[in-house]
Amino acid sequence: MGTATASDLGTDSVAVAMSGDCAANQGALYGSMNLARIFNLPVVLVTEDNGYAETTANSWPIAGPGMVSRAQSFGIPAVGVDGADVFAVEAAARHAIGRARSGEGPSHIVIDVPMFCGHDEGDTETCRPRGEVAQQRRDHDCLKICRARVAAAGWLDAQAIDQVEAEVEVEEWVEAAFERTRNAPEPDLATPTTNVFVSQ
Amino acid sequence: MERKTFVSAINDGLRMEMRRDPTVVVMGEDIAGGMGAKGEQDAWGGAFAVTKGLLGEFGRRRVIDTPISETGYLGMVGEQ
Repeated sequence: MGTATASDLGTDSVAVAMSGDCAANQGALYGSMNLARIFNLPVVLVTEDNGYAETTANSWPIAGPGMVSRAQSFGIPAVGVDGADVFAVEAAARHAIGRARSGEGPSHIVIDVPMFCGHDEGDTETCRPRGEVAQQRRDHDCLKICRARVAAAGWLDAQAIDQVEAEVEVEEWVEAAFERTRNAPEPDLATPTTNVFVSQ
Repeated sequence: MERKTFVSAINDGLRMEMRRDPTVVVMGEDIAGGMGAKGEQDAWGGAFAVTKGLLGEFGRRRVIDTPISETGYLGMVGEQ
């Protein structure tokens, strides 16, 4: 909310606040929604819903018809989006950011995403039904779906897509990124307040 | 003195109190785990496993998984 308020004071920046479905029952979220609405803040609230808060499946702890209607009850336009469809996510984000920039205030996007791995390294994931991850990887992998859509639309042929995938899968890229980070200079002591206050 | 881990000592302490007094409950996020989920229950026992196994002995009425709403469920604690 701070960044959104700062953005409201003389820039066309938009704050994007990401949270997971774990935050669905935190009072702070609804305090923030209320503030965003009454001050008409340029903020996009994003809830990335992977179905589980650690071991608790979200069919149980979220009372009522769901996150979208909760935001709507504050007068905030809200939409649910399939996170495996990158084009749908882009369209929803573009719409929400456009609203914020044109002075229409907050929006909420609830993105359903698959969960391909556990909450943390030690997560045994035994609370999940067997085969769920395999099914999600098969049917809800955003990269596979994007590839199929791009090919179907004729934007790139299969060979061009293979080439892109081969390029980004080269391990040296990752190694080089690590190397650059390790060798990067320490951050300037003047930077901690960047994006905390309005910076031009 | 018996040597045991902190996790095991806390687990023993909770069990002893819950056996001694049937009105004692334990409440928190993922303390058994698996609420609403289709897989295994009590696979978790909390983030540090200190409540592992209590569900089997005391059941869901006394081993209460909560939503992540700390400021709310602190107010659920009370005495009759």
